[in-house]
Amino acid sequence: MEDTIMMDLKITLVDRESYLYDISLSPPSSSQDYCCSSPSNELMMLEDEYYQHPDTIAHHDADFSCLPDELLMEIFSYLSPIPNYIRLRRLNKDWKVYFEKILTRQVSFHLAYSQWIDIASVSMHNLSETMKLLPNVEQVVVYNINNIEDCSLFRLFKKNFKKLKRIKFTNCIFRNCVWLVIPSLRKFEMSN
Amino acid sequence: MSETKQVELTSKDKVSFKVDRDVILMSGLVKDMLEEGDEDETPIIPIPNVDSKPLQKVIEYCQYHHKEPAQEIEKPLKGKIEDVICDWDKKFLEIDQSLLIELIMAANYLNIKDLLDLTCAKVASMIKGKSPEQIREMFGIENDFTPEEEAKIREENKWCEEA
Repeated sequence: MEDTIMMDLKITLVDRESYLYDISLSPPSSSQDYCCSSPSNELMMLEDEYYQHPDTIAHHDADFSCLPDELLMEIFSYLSPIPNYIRLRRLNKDWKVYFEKILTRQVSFHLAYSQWIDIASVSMHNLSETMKLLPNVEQVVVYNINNIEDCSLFRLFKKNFKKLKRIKFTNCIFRNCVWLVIPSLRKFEMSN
Repeated sequence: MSETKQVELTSKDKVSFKVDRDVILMSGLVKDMLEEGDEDETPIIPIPNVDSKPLQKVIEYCQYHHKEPAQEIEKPLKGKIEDVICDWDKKFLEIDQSLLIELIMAANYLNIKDLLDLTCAKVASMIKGKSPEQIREMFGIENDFTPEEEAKIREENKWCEEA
């Protein structure tokens, strides 16, 4: 028998059609706990190095991959990561290596530039694959799922998001759902 | 009546630009240099890493936006960048790709956050929704995968790309 999480719940019903998962490292509100990188002083400290690098100076006509990683990541932070990163892996070998490095770097980089990952209509199997790429997720927002029937979603969270601190369900309908304890979890919300 | 204080910026290719001090203070780098430097009437600040063409664009940006603060650009972009920036910025971004890249580097070097945001978001917008083939063409990237490698990576990506 699985333990049940008892939390403060706020439930209001709203109708929506399609469903979507948003896995967020940085919520729209500017919570310090989940702050996302923006052009920072750290970034600004790096320019001397790359400007003095002959390759970067000489590449004015080159493609945008001549930009240093920090600036590329700033660019990619405007993209919804997973579908775009996956797509960019297919550009050529260099980009494949580059994005695989990003997707698998777990501690130092931890996809901190990823504010949102929108995964539409992903099956549970594929969702698990996606989650494996995001070991440092601390917050999950799940919305527009009309029929959460079992605990598979919670199992996936528990299995893949070891650092998960907050879950928010918005506009979701549960049916006989068993909720698992996720040890790292600090906050659980439901709203519609 | 006191005149507006000016600063003279000298680009990498030795072109000088006189700019109002208030305008160029949008640059964190210049601001720091002015604070550290003496009180010359028109201080000359070398910008050795930026050519005159991007520097001119940077100045143009600062001249407009020091009075009209730029709006923050959402992350991630939900649509095209043109939907979230002002008309002036749209016109400003009508530049070729190499100048756009130079502008990104200049904005970063000069520590002008709003300009860096704008130019990075522009590139992101150019990528958004494009297929790998389209992105390769757009940015002149050579596809060096063998057909077998490409088939394999397609298969690996299937779970996501079909989503």
